[in-house]
Amino acid sequence: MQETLLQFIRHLRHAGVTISTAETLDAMSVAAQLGYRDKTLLYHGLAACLAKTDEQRQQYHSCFKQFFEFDLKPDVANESEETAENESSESEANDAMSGQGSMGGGGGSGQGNQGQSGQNQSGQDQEQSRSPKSEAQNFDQLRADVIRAAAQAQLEQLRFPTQRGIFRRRILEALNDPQRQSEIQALGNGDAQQQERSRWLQQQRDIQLEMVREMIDRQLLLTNNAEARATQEALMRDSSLSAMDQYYRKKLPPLIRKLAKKLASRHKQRLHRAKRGKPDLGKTLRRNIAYGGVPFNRYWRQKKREKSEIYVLCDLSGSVSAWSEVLMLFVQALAEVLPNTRSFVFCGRSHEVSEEFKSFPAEQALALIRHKHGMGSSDYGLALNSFRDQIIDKVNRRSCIIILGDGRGNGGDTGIDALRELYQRARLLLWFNPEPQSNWNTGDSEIRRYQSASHYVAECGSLRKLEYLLDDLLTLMR
Amino acid sequence: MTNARQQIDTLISQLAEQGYIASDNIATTLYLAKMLERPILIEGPPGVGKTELANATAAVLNQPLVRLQCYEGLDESKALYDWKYSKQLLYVQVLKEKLQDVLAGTEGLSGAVEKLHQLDDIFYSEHFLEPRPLLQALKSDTGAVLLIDEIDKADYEFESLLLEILADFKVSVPEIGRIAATHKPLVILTSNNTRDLSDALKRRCLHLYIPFPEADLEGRIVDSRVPEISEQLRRQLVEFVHSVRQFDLKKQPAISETIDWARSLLLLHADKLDRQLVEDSLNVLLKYEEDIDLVRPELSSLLRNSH
Repeated sequence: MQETLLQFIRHLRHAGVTISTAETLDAMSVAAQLGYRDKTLLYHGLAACLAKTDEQRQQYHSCFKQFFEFDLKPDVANESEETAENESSESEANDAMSGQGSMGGGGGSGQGNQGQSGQNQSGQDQEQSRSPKSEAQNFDQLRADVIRAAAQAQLEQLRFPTQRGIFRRRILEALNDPQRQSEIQALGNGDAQQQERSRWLQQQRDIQLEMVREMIDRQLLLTNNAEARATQEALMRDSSLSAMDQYYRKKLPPLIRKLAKKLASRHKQRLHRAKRGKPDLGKTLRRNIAYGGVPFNRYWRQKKREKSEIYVLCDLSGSVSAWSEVLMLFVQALAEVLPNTRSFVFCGRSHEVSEEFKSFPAEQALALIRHKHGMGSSDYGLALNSFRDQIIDKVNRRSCIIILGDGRGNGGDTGIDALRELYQRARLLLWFNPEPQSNWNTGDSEIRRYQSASHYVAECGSLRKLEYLLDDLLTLMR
Repeated sequence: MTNARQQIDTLISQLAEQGYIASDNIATTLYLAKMLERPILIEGPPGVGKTELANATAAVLNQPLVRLQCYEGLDESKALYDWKYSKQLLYVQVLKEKLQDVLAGTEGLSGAVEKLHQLDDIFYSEHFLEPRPLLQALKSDTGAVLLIDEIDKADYEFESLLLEILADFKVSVPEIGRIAATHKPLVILTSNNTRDLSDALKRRCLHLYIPFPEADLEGRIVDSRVPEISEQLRRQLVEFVHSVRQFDLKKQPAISETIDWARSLLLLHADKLDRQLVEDSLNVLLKYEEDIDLVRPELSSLLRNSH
């Protein structure tokens, strides 16, 4: 039974619910306390220790339904218990826990009696096939065979969709399928009665094939393609965006949100620790004169936190627009730790887009911005000059400016003077360049000149590099 | 195993005696918390009876309720323990002469300090310890229900402070050592979800989410709280509140508002809802002018539906 629970927890993890070892232990004691009989009870009990956010609760609900083939209405639960009545208590529990569960335990009851049971039944079933009850029994028998075969084939190890074929073959082998197929063929050439039987066998086989397919689908659904996804995510973090397929780009926003959440939670903690400040000796002494100068009440020096502002300017021209979108998404997702952010985009003139992000969800805002300001070749001269005009009276020693662009101005005005003016005023001016360093200063790239008017020019060729850069930035800004 | 089911059903009826109508989910979690000695973290919109559950539980268990209301800046001297500084000071003054007697005959400063060392840390003993709610709950002789209300309002530091108590039911006081609970209290934490709690805290708790109840359950709750209300009015009222919750409101009316509204309608001697009555008493149900403005034009259709 424990094995079943562990499998369930594994499936929850695959579905993206984070469950620690301690919570697993909790789940075990919950199950021990409540028993497996009353599923509604088990559902609520396990929910209390496994699903801890709104999102997780929904995942848990669908996983529980999938895994235990379970309907929350009590009458249905009773029915499934009735069907399992005849079997021993152990397998009863397993059966109630559905196919996944019995894979752990029931693998031993070998192949031998399967062929037998199939043949023994065949005669009776033909006679009784009209009454619905025996049909249902037959169906259960077929299903039990498939479940046993699946256990033999170790279906729970199925991870990738590409393994579908292998596991299908293994299960069919465990079901003695090749033998049955030749039997069907042999009987098909015989007399009328034999042909009838061959047709019946064929029908049984079709039903089982369908079951096998369903079971494999379900297993894939349960593992939720988790490992393939994890590999993909790792790949996406390291690969260059320009080389990335549109298909993968669509999957970026959730990944970015995940990375941003990690960053935010780390820097939130630091922020609080830094706020403590130094003891105010004078005030402490003054206020404690009543106690003979013994400092019973301590006072800390109140430090006014100066809010730092971040200005992000992104190039929306064709070559780097994908990166700009990633950066803007990242910065928006970091809103919790970077409250004062203003975003600007440019192809020609710079436009502020902070309002769009405030009134629409991030992805929708991006689409809107792309539509309004995107597509065109970059004119750095106009962009930097108009950017300076918009923000110069706000920029001070607490401001941080991030510019994302490849610094390729198509030979036009560089706007370097405007940049230098900002550089001299701001606390930090960073230039993120998505191009690999080897390509800098080739062709029309002006990045060397921009380097002289920035505190740091960084290459942000992959999501991982961008994550590190922002991590450093947050440490600096705190 | 049916044992668990029975006990949970008993719990539901016991809670009902206290005027708390619990769903299966709530009762199961409460039962588990008691059996496994785990804290419960209750989340849900304001006014669905999170705090009330703690009150009812304390009454069912016949144990005192120790309540700690969280707010920004809450620290251990207000939540856990503090030293009775003035008492210490007073004792020092009073005992000055006694000290001179004790120290008489010692040679030099080091001798006096040596002598003092032998006296132990009398000023930092339990007599000078002022227990705050958390410590009170741990030291209670009969066991207690500890309600830590609106934990999301407290700082991160306070959350970390709670971890030791929630996991081991022990408190470290540097000057004394670890104080363990005599009877483990049942801990209930509530959160309005204004911020995410740390994973470490969530891991240690059973999690319970109380949503707005379904119409049937809410009807029973109103019935148990305001038994004088007529059947027809109760049904209309609950249906009306449910359809009001479909609007995009600044603040959704919670159960507590439904109950308040039922009480005020009773005071107005109403036996069924009509437009005038609802319009006059809508401010009991909705707490923002914008919300009232949003609902008022829809009143007739809402009332038609709830008839």
